[in-house]
Amino acid sequence: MPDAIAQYLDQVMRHARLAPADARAVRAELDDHLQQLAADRAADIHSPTEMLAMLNQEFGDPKEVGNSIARSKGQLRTWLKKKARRLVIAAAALVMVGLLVRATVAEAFIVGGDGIAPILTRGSRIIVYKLANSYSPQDIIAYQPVDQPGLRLLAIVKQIDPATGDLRVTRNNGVELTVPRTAIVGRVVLSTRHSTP
Amino acid sequence: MPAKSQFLKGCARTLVLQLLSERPMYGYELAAALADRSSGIFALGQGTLYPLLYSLESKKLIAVSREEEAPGSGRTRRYYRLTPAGRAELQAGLATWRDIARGMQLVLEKRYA
Repeated sequence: MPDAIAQYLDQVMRHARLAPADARAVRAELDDHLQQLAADRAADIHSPTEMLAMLNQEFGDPKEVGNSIARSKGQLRTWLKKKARRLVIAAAALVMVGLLVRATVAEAFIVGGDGIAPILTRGSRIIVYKLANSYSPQDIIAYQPVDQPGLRLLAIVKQIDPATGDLRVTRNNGVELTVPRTAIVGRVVLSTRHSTP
Repeated sequence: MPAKSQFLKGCARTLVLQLLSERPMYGYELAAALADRSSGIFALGQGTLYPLLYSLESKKLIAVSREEEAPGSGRTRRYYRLTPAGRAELQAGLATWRDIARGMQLVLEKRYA
């Protein structure tokens, strides 16, 4: 007789399509219920066929019960629980790729000063392309001041030293300085200019 | 009789909340109480009880605690109990039921008096 209950539960759970942890908990609860029901009806049940018939009549059609349980648990919630592990791995991979791109290819910044205003003003958003290896006059670059390595400043290219790759740049309408090749972060390739009211 | 079945399902929600307002119960106990106290009217389709319980649980109208079937048995059962939100829902369900019952009674008494 326990086989008849297991067979009935297999059908219910096949239609419920729950995430593994939910499926274990629901199956254990329904099994407990059906074992008690079978014990209460033991005097009238003499074969597995009679048992299955009784379960269908008293507990319900296994397909309908399974589908109702699936709906009550929330199909989106079940889908998310089933995919949770993959979603976490995919999110972690995306974060890793994002960090890698940010460290080596391109990084977004918000301009915090007016070093090259009015071309780019405070609050503008820019993307710096870090793989740039050639520069032209009038390019906007981001660089790291030698005395303040944590800082990123913007400047406009005036001249390129072909021998060293160092750049002669200007900031604040006329202040010129030399940026060593090693201090260049990259070229500004995209910007949204922030307009102040 | 799908119409009767739908009507019973609608009532079952309030009845389950009412039974759980009296004391915490596990599934089979609840099904047996529903059948006994309704003279068998709510005895059929015990399998519909669990989707209802899971739905009430997800809406936080009832809560679950695990207790051992028998001391030392190692097997646990899920006991359902009413939450404060469930108690408010029960009051609303009872008020609705009283209105429906009164409305039905007024119309039917007039027609068949």
